[in-house]
Amino acid sequence: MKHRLSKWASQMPILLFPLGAALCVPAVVTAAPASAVQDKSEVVSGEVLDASGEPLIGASVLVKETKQGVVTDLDGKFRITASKGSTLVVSYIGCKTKEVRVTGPSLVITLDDDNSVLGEVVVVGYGTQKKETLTGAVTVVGEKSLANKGTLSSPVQALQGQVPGVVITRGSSAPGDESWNMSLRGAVSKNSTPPLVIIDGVEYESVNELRLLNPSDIESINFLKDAAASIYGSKAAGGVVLVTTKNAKEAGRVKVEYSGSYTFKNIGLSAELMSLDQWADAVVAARTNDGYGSDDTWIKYAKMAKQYRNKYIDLRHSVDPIGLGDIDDLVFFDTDWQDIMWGNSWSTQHELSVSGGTEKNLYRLSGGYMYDDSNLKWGNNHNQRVNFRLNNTFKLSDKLTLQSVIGYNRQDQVAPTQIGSALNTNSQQPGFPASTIDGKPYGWGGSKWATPNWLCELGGDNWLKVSAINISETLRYEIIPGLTANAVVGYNTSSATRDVKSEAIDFYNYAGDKKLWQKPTQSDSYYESSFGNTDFYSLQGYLNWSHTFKKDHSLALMGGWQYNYKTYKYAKTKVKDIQSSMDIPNGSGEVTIPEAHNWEEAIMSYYGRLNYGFQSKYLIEGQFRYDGSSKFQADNRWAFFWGVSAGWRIDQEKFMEGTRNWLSNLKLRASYGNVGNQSGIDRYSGQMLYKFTQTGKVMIGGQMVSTIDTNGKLISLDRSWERVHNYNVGLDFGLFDNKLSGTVETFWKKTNNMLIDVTYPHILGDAAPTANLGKFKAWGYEGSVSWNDKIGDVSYHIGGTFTYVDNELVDNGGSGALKNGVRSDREGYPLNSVFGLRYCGKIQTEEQLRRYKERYASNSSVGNIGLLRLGDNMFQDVNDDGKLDANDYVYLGTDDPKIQFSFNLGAEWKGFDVNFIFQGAAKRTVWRTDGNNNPDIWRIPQRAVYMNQSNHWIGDVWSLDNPGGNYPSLTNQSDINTYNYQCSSWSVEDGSYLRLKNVTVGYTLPKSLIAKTKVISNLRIYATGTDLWEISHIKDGWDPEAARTITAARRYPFLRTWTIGANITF
Amino acid sequence: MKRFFKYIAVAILSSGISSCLDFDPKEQLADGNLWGKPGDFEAAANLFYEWTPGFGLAFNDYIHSDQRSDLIIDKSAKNVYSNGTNTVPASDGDYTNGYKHIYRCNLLLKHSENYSNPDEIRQSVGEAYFFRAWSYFQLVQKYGDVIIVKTPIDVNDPAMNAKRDSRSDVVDFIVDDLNRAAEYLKPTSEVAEGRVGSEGAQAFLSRVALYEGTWQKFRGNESRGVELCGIAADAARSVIDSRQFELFAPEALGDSAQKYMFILEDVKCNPAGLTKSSNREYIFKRCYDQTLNPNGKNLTKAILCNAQLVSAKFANMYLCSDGLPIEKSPNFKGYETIKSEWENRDNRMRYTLCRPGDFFWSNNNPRIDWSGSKEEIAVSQTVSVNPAAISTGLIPNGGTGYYPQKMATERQVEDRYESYDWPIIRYAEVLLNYAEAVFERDGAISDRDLDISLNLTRQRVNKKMPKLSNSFVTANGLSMREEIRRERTIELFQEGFRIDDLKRWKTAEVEMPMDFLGIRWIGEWRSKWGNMSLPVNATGNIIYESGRKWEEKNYLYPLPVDELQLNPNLGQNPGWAGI
Repeated sequence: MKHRLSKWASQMPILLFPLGAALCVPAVVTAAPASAVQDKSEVVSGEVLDASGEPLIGASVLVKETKQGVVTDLDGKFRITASKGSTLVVSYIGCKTKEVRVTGPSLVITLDDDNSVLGEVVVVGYGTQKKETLTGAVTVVGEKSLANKGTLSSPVQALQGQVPGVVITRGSSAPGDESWNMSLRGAVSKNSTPPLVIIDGVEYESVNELRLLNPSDIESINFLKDAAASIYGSKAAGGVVLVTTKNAKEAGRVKVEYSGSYTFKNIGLSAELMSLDQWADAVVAARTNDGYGSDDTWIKYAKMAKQYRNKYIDLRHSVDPIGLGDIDDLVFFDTDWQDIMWGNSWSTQHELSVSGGTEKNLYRLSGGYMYDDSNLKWGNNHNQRVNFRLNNTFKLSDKLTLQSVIGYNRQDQVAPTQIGSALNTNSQQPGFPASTIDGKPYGWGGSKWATPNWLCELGGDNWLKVSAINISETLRYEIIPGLTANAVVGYNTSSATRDVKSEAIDFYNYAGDKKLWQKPTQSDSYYESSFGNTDFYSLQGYLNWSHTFKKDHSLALMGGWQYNYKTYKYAKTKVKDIQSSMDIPNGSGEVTIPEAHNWEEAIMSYYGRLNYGFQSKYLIEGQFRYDGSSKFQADNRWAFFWGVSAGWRIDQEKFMEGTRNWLSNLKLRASYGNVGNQSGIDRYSGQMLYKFTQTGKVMIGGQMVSTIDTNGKLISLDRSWERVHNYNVGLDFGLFDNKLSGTVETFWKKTNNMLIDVTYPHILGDAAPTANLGKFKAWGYEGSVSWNDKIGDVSYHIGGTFTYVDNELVDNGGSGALKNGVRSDREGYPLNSVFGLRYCGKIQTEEQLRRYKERYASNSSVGNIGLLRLGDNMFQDVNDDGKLDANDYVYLGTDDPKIQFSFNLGAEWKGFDVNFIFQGAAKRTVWRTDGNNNPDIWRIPQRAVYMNQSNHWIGDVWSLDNPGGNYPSLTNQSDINTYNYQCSSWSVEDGSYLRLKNVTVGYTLPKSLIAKTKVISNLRIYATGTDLWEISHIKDGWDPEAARTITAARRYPFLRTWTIGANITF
Repeated sequence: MKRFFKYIAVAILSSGISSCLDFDPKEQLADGNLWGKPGDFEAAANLFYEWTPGFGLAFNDYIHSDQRSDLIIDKSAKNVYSNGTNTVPASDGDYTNGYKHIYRCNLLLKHSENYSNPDEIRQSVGEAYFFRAWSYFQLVQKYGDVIIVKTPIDVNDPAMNAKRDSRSDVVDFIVDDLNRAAEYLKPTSEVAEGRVGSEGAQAFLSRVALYEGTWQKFRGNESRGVELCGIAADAARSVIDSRQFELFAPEALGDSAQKYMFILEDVKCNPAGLTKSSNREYIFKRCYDQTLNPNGKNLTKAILCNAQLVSAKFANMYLCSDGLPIEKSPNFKGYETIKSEWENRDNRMRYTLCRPGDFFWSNNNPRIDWSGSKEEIAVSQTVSVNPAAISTGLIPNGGTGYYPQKMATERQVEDRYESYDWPIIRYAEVLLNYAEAVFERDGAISDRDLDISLNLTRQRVNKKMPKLSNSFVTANGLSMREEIRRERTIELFQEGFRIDDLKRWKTAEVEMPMDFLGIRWIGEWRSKWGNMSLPVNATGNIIYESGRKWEEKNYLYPLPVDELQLNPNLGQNPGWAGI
């Protein structure tokens, strides 16, 4: 790919500079005219070595005068025809290009490593720029960051915490359901602003789509974070992620690369449930606190549990000693449900690529396979990915090049259909055996408590199959030197089928000889089949022109047009009462179409960019985009976005000459740009829409009849895009020959026309449309620094990144009603702010209890204070009005971490390498809830007597003997629990953490040794561990990276992984 | 290469026309592709039927349900609307939904104006008028004055900041709409089962006009009251004269006819094997079906001796079999035994409430053959209040001692799958509307008018009870008004009328503050129901709830805070806190 970039770059003013080492040879080679051998020439032979003395295979050697070139062979040797006194230009990727005068018939040339990144060419959208003349906030991540990471469920996984300003989070560790999410510099609006993802010039659906890419196919990922994104206009409010896939690097040689890894996964941080004894003790304590005596059913039950631990009572042969009724047996097994459900697992990833070609046609064909098994021990649960990619560069004529990218990928994922029921907080009941005595599903009682493992094992599978084909064809024509025309045709098609089978399961008593009931019942069993298809077409045409006037003035212009069209179709069919052995929609029950979709949308755009540089010292860039979106009415669908940026390379100034010996790079950048967001607008804005329901809730004439309702919204004819104003100032620096390099940036963003809901009197009849009335701002800073050097044979590097982001909802048309929990509707506060009461200690004495009740019992709205007892929480009347109510809620922080950081260090010695990556977050407040914003039930000890909860509180409960206990005295009374565990400064947790994200140890076999095989040219073996260690302040057992909301199916524990792998080049 | 650029240029220019940004929605209907055929109007009108009440009225807390009156109390929670302690709410779904519904009616009416062949959509237009009237009546009953919105409006409409229209204007608007509805709607006999017909509009008009007529009359506005009662009487009379409806009283069911009407289904659910089709009493109903449209509420379980308690006041309202109230009838046997007060009473009493000593069956403990045999008794409901019920029949020992059974099925069916129809408007109400409207219009009612109305419901299951007549009233020192109201209360119990009746009669201030009483815990009760923990009053009645109050402000509900904030001109109802 860099090959292609270099050619693009050659059209641009950066041609003035010597081609950097990162630019490949073939461009030059192919450009060489076939010229006759001159008289004085002779054959020169030589050898090219790297800094450590290893031969460099495939290094380019070019005679500067004749433009003739060759490539070094397997031993690093070359032969070339050159006249004495001419100059050889020797270059190799990752090394500094060297010019050597021909002094004799044989030469040994040693290339130094190039630590500088200045020569890098950076993809910036519809073109490239040299990094040294870049004026925008663009961070580039190369293939190195993605390599040797073991199994990656998404390439994004490898970048967590690595890129300044880029916040990457995951929702779960369930295979295929990780829901990787990414934001560039945080929120810019109440409405979602995901980054725009562009792969090889063609737009993709979302960051989540990256999960379908083979990490090894990625050449680079570039993040456009400021005004640089303005070239993408209306969808660029969340920044732009540009992904470039690999192409063959050189003509001639066929290069085969293989990399494979095997990963072992064990359970990392996860909530741990009470043992049977712990549970029984808790029940007795709670019931006693609640005033029950020894005759209480549950106290009796708990005491029996301890007495009969790991035994059971079959009630057909004995009288029910407790009198629960409606049960067949009493079971008291000390079952560790987390242990029953979860275990170790593995995953593996293999990639193979073949690249090579001729001067006329370079190709790279790659295939990848990933299998990721689940740590869930029951049922079918895994994720598979298969990738193929064929990248071709066809040189159709001297001036015409076709760059072709064809990718195919497929995901096969399966999970138990009943996973939600199995993992919800109710299902892991204390005392229940995992199976009946003869290994069948165990069930209990008339209220149908089903053991969760069997719901996974026998409840049916949920299969997801996604296939996608991505095609991107770029035709480039060089009209005259410096002016090229480009046409891009992009087509992405993706289909997803989901087949969900929910099967009836028979549950038995513990003795296994009595079938109790079915769950789900046969009549509720179902087969659900859905098919969704997305087609995306992109047409682009643009011109690039560059010219240098009078040596000092370089000018580049780009202008183009683009049309993107997307269509989506989806339908789901559901049949009930199925034959469970059949794998097609079938059944004798009701047939319904629960969901169907069909829509299309399009954007047409005109865009342009101007770059001007004076002596490469003063750089200025301007860009615009004019977008029209199908979402809007014709009258207001077009919008103009633009941005300007400037750079000053201070180190190039004359007055800096004195610093040249230590300062290698110093660049100041500043930018302003505006970008758009249309996510807050539905398709077909301005059209009154209605909802058709095939069979509504009304029975007329003996049938359920169809109904038509409005879609609940009035139409708006004057809505427009949200426009985000984006300011950025940055400084790039490099010291000591770029051994120390880094960037610091600060940014702020404003939106003055954010789309918000406005409430009108309800006589309107439906909700008023959102209007461009809100205001929002965000700000922050970020930086990265790295040090690369060598001590003797040991080369080492240390680096780090830091990101701080914050935001404020300035105007939301008035704040909503005061409520606790996580809110995104309070003016003056960030999105996802946590509000709750301020904790002020436990009630320690009867006198305190009396006074607290006297003051608040009759006038509080934060719980039933009249019920409180010693050891319960006290909260502060913050506004001092004698009442405890919503007005006493205080700001407790935000769920979004304001700080993200990472640092890495590594070293290499004689082929051995070791690398550590630490990653962390700070200033995050975690309020753990279920999907309905209620406190997560596992956190509350004895929330319900029959339920198991995590055991984090054991030994730290308040009592008269333990007045310092952190947890209130146990109770079953839900009013008291609701009060104690409501959102408060006591119940929220500190979400900051530091984690050892990755450790890699590797060994690259010496090239001299490998070369002798004549087959293998490079071999590296490595071992990697991820998420191995952390400091976390989370008390309830969850991983600090876990999302605060824990819904049933997300109750997967987080993992530590251990990988061994090898990379081989043939 | 020139050709290549030509293609590019052509591609750019041809795609440059903006039509490639104009799309029509495909998964939703839009104004552009809707309202073009009768089916569109019909489907839009079908939605209106979702707004009618269902069985929730019978046992949930709901603005019209008897739980908010002096007849029924929920066992688990005191009702703030019933005991007068409700406060101004932050928001109010009834207000929001009311206008949501009106908007949808207005939308249909607006689009009907441009429809090319109006005759094709007459029924749907009639339904829009009917349901707009229906929705406004809900608002008037709850809030009194409300803003009238006649067409779909946008956020710039002056109505956004308007003062409320007076209730008289709103009622006139409703009367107009209902007259138009009656004109547009087809006769009930010609519309599909479950749709409202023109008689339905007339019947509803009698309800609305009687409501507002008596409301005005008992608040000193005699002439307005009399005028509206006249409209009510005429509307009711037109339904009677249509001869399309009759009370459900098959001989085979005898004195239990009224009971089985409410639990009539198409399967074996009554001793006579009758089905829904033999019921010609329901003028407008919400239809249910065990397979297609089960009612979805745990109806029988909630009603039969479980969630709701009935007041002694209601039990005492039942006449004795001689047509006289218990205070005047020599046949009344007093309260000494647990069964004595049940003797010689209106037959509806034992089929509406649960008589002690009787056996009851439910959907989980169904009847076998209605023989009352040993086998059948063995499966009868083990009523939760009385574990000994199997051997002795029901002996209440909790709550007020009075339990309802109206609308509890006796056939076998899964919970929530009971599927009898809900009577939105039934003929009995129209008859009683007629009797009351005539009486309040004229200050008197003829025996002939009583015979074509009230006496039909009174004698449906009490063939031997003397008719109500002017002479009977005079001879026994009764009040005609009181007897008309009594019949209405008895007949329409648990169907969502009582609290609205008390409001319009302006008697809520007398009736509602009375203690909510249970049985007289005297005589045999004291031995059968030993550990009764509730207080009793001077007559020995259990006091289930005391301290109830009713202030003048309670005749109307408060407007919610959010609406008052959004439109400061709205103004709060008298007596309620503003903002």
